[in-house]
This record gives sequence, structure tokens and C-alpha cells, in this order.
Amino acid sequence: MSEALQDPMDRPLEIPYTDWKPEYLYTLGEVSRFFREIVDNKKLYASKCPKCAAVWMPPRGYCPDCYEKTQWVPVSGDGTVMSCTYCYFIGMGGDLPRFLDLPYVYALIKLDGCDSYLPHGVRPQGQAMGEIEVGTRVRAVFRDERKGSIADFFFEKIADQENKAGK
Amino acid sequence: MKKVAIVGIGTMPWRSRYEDKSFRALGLEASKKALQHAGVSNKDIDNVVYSIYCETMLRQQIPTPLLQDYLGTQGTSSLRITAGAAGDGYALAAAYGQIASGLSDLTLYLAVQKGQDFYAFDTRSRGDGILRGFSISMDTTWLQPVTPGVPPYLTAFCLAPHIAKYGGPTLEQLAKVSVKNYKNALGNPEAQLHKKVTVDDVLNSRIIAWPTTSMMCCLYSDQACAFVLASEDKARELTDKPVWITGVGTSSYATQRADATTMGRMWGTHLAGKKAYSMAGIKKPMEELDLIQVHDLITGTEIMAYEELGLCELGEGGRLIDEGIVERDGKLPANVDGGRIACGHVGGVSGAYAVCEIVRQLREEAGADRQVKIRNGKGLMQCIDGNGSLSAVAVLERG
Repeated sequence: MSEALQDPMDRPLEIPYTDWKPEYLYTLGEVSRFFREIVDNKKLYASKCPKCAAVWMPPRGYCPDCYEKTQWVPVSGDGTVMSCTYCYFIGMGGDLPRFLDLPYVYALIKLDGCDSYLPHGVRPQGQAMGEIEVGTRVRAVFRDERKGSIADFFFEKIADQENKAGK
Repeated sequence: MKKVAIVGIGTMPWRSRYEDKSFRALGLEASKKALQHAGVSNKDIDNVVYSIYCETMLRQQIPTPLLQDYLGTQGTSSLRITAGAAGDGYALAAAYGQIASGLSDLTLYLAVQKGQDFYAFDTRSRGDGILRGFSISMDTTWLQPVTPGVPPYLTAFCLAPHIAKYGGPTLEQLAKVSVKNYKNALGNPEAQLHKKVTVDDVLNSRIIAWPTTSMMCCLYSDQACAFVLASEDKARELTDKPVWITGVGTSSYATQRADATTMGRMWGTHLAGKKAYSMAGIKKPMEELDLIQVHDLITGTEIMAYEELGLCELGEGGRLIDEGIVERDGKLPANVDGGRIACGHVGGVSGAYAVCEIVRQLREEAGADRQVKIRNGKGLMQCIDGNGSLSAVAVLERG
């Protein structure tokens, strides 16, 4: 009732606010090498604790259990899907739209030689669910355009890649 | 430690967006209701605890001095807690501590968040703007560039491996939780959606991240909730219906680390629940609690919460919905207000709404349409952030 009687001058006024757009030139700090190897050499490195020998992926500068500074160890980029979901929705925040179409698979991947799992995108060849599942072997594929982001690569099923190579 | 009671509550109707209210006005309206319900004024308050999740969403860093001014509570102590979507639970633990320690006698708790002011001018979409603006809640180095959003993230980290490991819940059970929460919302005039839905409707709604469909995901909203907390003496003076906070537990468990131990579990909820139970002296939660308000960001996390809170074995949560135990007229109703699925959700506030709902229910003020049977006078709220990396559990008790 009161809304019907509202003075039009009191209607909510919406205005754009675009004056503040945060821009950063930020440092990757202690994990700089991980991203430099991706950009320069298309290689993945994990971090290993010299004390407990745990191999971390995503890498971290220090072992969270021992507080030791970790050491860089190369990994092949091959791994196994430990968990996954088919996504039919894409967030606007990240770099996903740069390289994935719907549907794509969001997965936790255990890279060979690593103890923790890397959350990442897997590009399926087809549309049908089930092509990528727990246990599927996947391989990191590097994008041509790399800027030092975790989205500079994505994953594909290994068999698919080898089929393609065989053609 | 001194006893702590909630003596008044105030909630706003859930709305996708309050175009007519700034965060200050939303906060004031909820506070006004809570103060009136408690029978005190803003000048009686000696401390304010704020749950405000996100500054970029508010378009305002350091919002609390502005709120202190707006609420007319200048000069009191104040504290702001932010812990993602579990921030309301963490703020409850903080407010509890302030009174239990004797630092405060009468605290106003205010949870407020505008969630829908973002806008993407390039695609002319508010939804895109929200997803984009919201995305920096995730680990910006390792997750955000490759993670599509919270429902896929929760599905991949928690739900999908849980199903693989423990054999449940089934698709139908996941859908039944939505049906239950939508049905419960019909009894709550403050819910954002009032719609009767079927299992088929839920299963046939758009897939977001399989097996999670859009109707298995929460709504997103603007909201403010407030309540007044009092020391024992103060509480007895103010009301004959105090609701005591008898257990609080928070636990932060694994953010970036995913491995066989963390995957498919919400360890934070398990550990926070144990702390809250031990403090409240609860040994058999299924027998002792009258209702639970759990974090249904997706229906999978509601079912996982049943399990992590010890209401059943791991993997058996779906049975509680199949057997009607968690329905409003069941043995242990869950999300009787409609939950995040049908009421609404915004980080840092939906858990405060859950607390208010438990207080209403324990005081038997929820109204004929949704009042549950109160036997032991105890209720539980649980909330999580992201993949359960932050969890809070609280036990409330009337008396």
C-alpha cells in the first residue's frame, strides 16, 4: 500500500560505480619458479620437503608440517583423476573461458610423483558424461599464450591425445 | 566462564535484492527489530559484534565505523569477524566469548551483507558481475583462475568423492532435500521463494556441476539479521524466555590441500561439532536435539552435515531424508525455515538467520505454519565456508 503511494522522487536510484578497479602488479614470491618454468619451458615443478619427503602440488615454499623450505622437483605433467564433476556453468572470474567450452570437467588430479591433488580443468573430447571419471589418466597441455597463471595449462585425457598423435 | 543468552532477534525478509536499502539501512532495520524484541535500546548496548563477509561486495572497506555511527552505538566496543560463509558462526563464537569472559554484558550482534550490487557492464549482467566479483573469495593463485564457482568446487572436493567413497547420497536423495526445503519455505513468510516443487522438477533443472542441479543450489540474496546477547544476570532481568548458547565450536581445516584424507569429508564440521557437543554435554545428538539448521549451500552439503555431525554413519545421510526423519514433522527437522535452498543465502548472514530461526523455534514463536515440536529444548546450527575449510557449530538451549 505504502509503495503505491510512494513519491516517484523516492524510488531507488541506481548509478554505475566504476571508479575503483583494483589493478595489481603482484609478486608470485616463493613460487615464482613454478610459473617461470611454465611460461619459459612448458614444464611443471612440484615442491618436496627435504625432511618428510612429502611432494606438494600445488607447490608451496614451505612444508606445512615441518616448516622446512621445500625443494623443486620436476614432474611429468601426467596424472590421475581422483575426483571430478561435469560442469555446465562457467564462473566469470577466472581464466576458464579462455580455454574451455561447456561441458568441461573440474577435477582433483594427482600428478605422478605428488602426494597432494591439484584442482584443475579437464577438457573432454565429447559432450557425453563419463568420458572423464575417477581413475582416468590425464596429461597437462600448455596453452600457446602463457602469462604465469595456473590457467596457462589444462588437462586432457591421455588416450585421446595419443589417438590424435597417431592420426 | 559466564553463561550467555540470546534475548532478542531480528531478521529481514529474504530478497534477491534490496534496491531501496543500503547496507546501513538493512543493518539498522534488523538491529531495531532485535533490540525491540529484547526490550532494550541501542543506548543500553555496550558492545557490537559484526559479521560482514565481503568488503568489495559492500563497495566499502572498513564498514564498521559507518555502521556504529548509523546504529547510534558510538563509544561502545566493536568487533568485526569475517570468515567467509561461516563468518556468522565465527562471529557468534566471538560474541559468546566477549560475554562469557566478562568483557561485555549486553552485546548487539549484527550480520549484514549486500550480495547483489555487482554488475558486469561488458555483458550487461548482474549475475556475471556477481560471479566475477565474488570469485576472489577463492585462492586467487591456485584456484580462482581455474575454478568455475562454489557449487562445482563443493561438488568436486566434497560431494562427488563422498559418493564415490561411501556410496551415497543418491541423486534422488539429493533432490528430496530440495523438495523438503522448498516445502518448509512455504511456511516461512520471509522466504525468498514460495513454490511447491517435485523430485522431478529438481532433477530436471539445469545441471550446474553433476550431480548438482540448479535447484539443488542455494539462492543468493541481500540480508541482515541481528540478535542481542546478554550475560546471565542481564538475561534474567530482560526475559523469561532466554535461549542459552551452551556450545560453540569452530574449526578451520584444509583450504588448498586436497588429498585422500580431506577429499569427500567436511572435517571442519566434524571437529567443530565435537567441540560444541562436548561443551554442551551432548552425547546422543539424534535423541537430544529438537531441530538443526545446517549449511545447504548445495543439498549435498546438507546431507554431509548430517553425517559429520554424528546423526548417522558416513554415507548414510540420505536415509534421514528417505525415512522422513529430517522433515518438519520428523524426529529431527532440518532447515525448517526453508534453508539456503528456498529462503536465501549470502555469506556471513545465512548462519545468523539460522540462529534466529532456532531461537524462534525454541521460544515457540515460529507460528503455526512451521513451529516444530520442542521436547528437549535444544537446537543446533552449522555453517561452512567454501569447501568446508571453515566450519562453525553452535548448540542453543532454552531454559
